[in-house]
Amino acid sequence: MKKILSAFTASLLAATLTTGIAQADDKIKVGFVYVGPIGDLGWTYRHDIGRLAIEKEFGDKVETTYLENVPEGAEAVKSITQLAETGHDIIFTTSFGFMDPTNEVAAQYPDVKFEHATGFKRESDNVSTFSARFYEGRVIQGLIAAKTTKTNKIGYIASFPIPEVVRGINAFQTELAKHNPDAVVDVKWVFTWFDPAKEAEAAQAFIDAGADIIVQHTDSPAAMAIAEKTDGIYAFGQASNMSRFGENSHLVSIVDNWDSYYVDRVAAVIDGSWSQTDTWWGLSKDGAGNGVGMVEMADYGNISEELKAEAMALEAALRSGERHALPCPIYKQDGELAEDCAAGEKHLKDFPTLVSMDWYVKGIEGSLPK
Amino acid sequence: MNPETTLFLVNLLTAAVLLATPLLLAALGELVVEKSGVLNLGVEGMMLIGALFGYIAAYNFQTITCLEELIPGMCTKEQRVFTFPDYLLALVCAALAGAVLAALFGFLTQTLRANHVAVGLGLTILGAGLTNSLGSNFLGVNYTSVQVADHPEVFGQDILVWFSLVAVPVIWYALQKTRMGLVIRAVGENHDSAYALGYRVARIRFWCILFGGAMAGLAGAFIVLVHVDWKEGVTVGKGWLALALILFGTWKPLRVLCGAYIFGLLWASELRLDHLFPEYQLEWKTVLTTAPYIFTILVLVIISRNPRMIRQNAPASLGKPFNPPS
Repeated sequence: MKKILSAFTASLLAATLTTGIAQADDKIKVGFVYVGPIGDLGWTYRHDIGRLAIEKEFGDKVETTYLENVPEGAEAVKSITQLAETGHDIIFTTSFGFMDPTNEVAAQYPDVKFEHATGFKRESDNVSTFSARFYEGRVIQGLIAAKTTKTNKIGYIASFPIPEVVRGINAFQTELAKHNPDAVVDVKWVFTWFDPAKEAEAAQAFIDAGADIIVQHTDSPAAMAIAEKTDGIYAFGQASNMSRFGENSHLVSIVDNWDSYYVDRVAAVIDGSWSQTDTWWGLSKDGAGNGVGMVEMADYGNISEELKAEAMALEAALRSGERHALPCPIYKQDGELAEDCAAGEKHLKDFPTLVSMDWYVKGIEGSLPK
Repeated sequence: MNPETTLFLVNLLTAAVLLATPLLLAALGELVVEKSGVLNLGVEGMMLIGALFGYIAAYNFQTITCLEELIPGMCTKEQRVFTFPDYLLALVCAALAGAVLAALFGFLTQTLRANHVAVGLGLTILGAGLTNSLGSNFLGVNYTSVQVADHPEVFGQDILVWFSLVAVPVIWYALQKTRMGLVIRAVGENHDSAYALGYRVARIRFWCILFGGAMAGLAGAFIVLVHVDWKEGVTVGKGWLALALILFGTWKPLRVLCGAYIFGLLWASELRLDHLFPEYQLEWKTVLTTAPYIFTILVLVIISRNPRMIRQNAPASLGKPFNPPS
């Protein structure tokens, strides 16, 4: 009896582990690999909103599956292979650290389409990459921070020293220095995308050191909640609209909007027109004001009407392409003029400068961890 | 010392307390469990369950008064009050939730005599999965997007901080100086002898497991009610760190206390002393984050070279299955 009982309990435990992937032949199967939990209310949450947009758009024609909390690096191979093995037609891997695993699995499953977010490696024909120009939003945050800070100390919580994060820091600093040359940005690398306690601790460390504006490039709203607890501290949200976590402290959030890209790509799989691409959308699709891009600014708050109008005008200029996020002249940390600017460009070029950015602009203290 | 340095050290200690307290609570509970000869690797899962149900309880116990009503039923400005008795009730719920999950472990390992390691690992996965799904929808409320108001502190710290500090001598006294402690240790040292003396090994271990679960539940509640809000997977490996802490403290409550605060200080230093070696930021941070584990390995190496220390502190029957002669 005991044996039967323990076998029963064991199978019950096992049942909770499997995600229960059902088979259906005529439907297009779309798989997602997430680095964090959907409930992070930040990065992964927004990707899942994109997944729901696919379901809403195509209804019965598609079936979506997701795996959450997949660790970056070699371990991700297992999860991506699991989706490829179970008949998924297109698989979105939504973190920079899935770059090599995605390409590794893609080479073994030539019939499956792979879409990797924020990476740059497309080793086989069935891998596309896509990314958002979040740094356009950082420009607007730089303006607001410059005119809001009273202590002239700004804390920047950075996740990993990858081009996407470095671009954001540089765009922020460039605009900040333009409007308030006395303000200083302090960058703390936390080396995690999601660890609420650590994000909160980084924010607290900044506040203790006298900063009154917190910028984050991590996934949870923990830093915003810390800012809300202290009077006179303001913070910017990241990835999703974090205004509800900071009634008195939220300035503006950079919101990821993957919906239209995801719907476009799944539509391409359905009509057979899918091909390898490298997509990089900002506030608009083409950088000239057309279409809904991947970056959205949400809920300007806790600032004067005047500053709000100025920020929105800047947003409009960035969307229409009238203004570039990183216009020349841009000086590197050591005072040297950036190569693109020295070559007479009007702004920093996408290739190879922005995609592989690994240097700080002038005014940021400390060195970039390599 | 100039005031700036003093302030810096005070802030560093404040941050250290935030990490040390949940580690200490979870480790003290698990210490009693291990002293009774049971290895429960499910601390992380029990912490998550405790965290979620502590949070759910806290959210529902707080009093929300509407200050401005736009239309009836739609509140535009609300005031939340979370009193001290409410907080204590929420902590009780957290401890109970941890204990319920621990009871599952106890049933599988003590009643059905399943392997401790396998069930413990399963418990961690179950705890994570269960809280992920319940946290986003428990009776219609998404707990990842609601907030709990702050609660009163006692003598400048949270009550759980004092509780964890008081628990250290109490657990030491209970284990070393009382008859109950002697029985627990006897069961952990040699379950066959204890059984032969007439002690009900499985039952004694079951109670210890429940205690460990309750303490892990409190540790989880501390994280979500004192430090940050509830998020899926909010403990991020602290349960595993608590397990390492017991080895670090060689099963002695006072050493576990020291270890918890050393780990806490290391963790706080990582973000507050990161400009110490600007050229080697990455290496320096790596050293600080891995230090708890490296220290634990060092301690293990040192004690394993000294048979007397192991014999004195490590429970001899730790993790061994107990099959009473029938």
